[in-house]
Amino acid sequence: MKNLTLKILTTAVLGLTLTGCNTLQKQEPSVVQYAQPVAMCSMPSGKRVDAAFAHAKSELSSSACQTQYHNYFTSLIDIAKGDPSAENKQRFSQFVTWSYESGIISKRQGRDYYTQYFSPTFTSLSDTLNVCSASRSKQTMIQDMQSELKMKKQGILEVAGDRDGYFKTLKQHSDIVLVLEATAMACTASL
Amino acid sequence: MKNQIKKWGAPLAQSSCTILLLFGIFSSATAANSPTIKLFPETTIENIKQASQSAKAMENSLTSVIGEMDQQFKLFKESKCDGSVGDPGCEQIQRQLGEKYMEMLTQMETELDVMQPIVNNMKTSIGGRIRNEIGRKMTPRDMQKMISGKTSNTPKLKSFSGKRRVGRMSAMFKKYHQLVSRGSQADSLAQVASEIYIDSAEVLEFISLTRQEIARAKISNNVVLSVGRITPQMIDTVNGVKSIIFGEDEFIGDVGEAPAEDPADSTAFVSEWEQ
Repeated sequence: MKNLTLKILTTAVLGLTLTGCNTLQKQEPSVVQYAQPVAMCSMPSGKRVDAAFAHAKSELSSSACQTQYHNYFTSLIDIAKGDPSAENKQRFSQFVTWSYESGIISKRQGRDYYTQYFSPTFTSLSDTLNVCSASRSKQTMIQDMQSELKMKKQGILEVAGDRDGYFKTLKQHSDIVLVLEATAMACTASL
Repeated sequence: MKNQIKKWGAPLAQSSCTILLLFGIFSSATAANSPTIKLFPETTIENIKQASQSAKAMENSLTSVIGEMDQQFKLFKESKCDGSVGDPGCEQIQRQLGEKYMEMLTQMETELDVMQPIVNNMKTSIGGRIRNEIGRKMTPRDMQKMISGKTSNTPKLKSFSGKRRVGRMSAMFKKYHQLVSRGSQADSLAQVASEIYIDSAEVLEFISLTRQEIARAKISNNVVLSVGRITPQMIDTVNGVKSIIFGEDEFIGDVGEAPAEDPADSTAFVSEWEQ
């Protein structure tokens, strides 16, 4: 009887301890979240482009805000849309250079950020497989290019105010899709 | 039939647009750094030439019979035969119309028999080149590099907007032939090759559907001839054939005007971050 009581007690204590551990594990992310100074990072606002860049740089100097780099970049894009000019391209280029030199982003990320918004070149196109192999996921590739085209519309047309540049980008997009479609069709025909 | 023709009208329209663009591409065939590929060997150029000749033959063969049908339709309308019953004159016109209609269908069927293998050869030949030269030798990024050097000086797209006449089928192939024989070694022809390849596939699909339609029309026209009545389907078919052979007015839609070339463009800011 004594042994049985001891066993029940041991099981109960063990069970409670495990439950307690589980509860702690479940709560852990929220504890960590509260510990992070996320609330201290504020996105740039207002209408002045230079002020917005200065604000973003100041905030991103704190390592706690660097994980939100993408949000800062897109906020700057939104603000710059309110004052489109060719100078904005240079502002963003300098911002990317500063971000790289400050160790916030890698060189590759820098190129991708800038090219996705301000260059007619599509970074979403694969550089590893040949076109026949890559065209097996043609639809995804075309969708990715479509998303990138929207970013280029924002950057080239709405931020830099470069209608010529955007028109060339549109033309290039449709040429690539045409050749991609034809090549995918030709590759499939040989199977 | 009308739907098929409408479906086929789009590639024809696109082809004409492509041709416009290509004149620009040829003028900018100086781009360096892009891989050199050969998309149009002599045999492929010869295939395109044959397709053009075949389309021209079909056009010539059908011109007179369609012209005669037009005259009879006109006479039918002017004589107020539409809806008339028991008028011997009207019945005679209707019978003649039915006979001409059959003649047109038969001639078209004969010409399509000739044209189908020619277009098929052209498609196979170009498809093979695209597959080997672009599909297997290049990555999508290489392909982009090849294309990007060729799109900067394309002509203004002003003519893309509004109503315009879609060209004759023979003229389309003839232009393709002229383009590729002028610059068959140039790697800038990827867009032309793609356009011709996709068009050829659609033309083949159209030929197959048209043959089925001709077979159906012949059966129903035998019935028409026996009851002596012009059906709306007959008129649709004739209009459809006319639009294929001779082109038709089609609204292409306004894609906007290309901005004028900016001389200051060359001094535009280029970032070190641009890929």
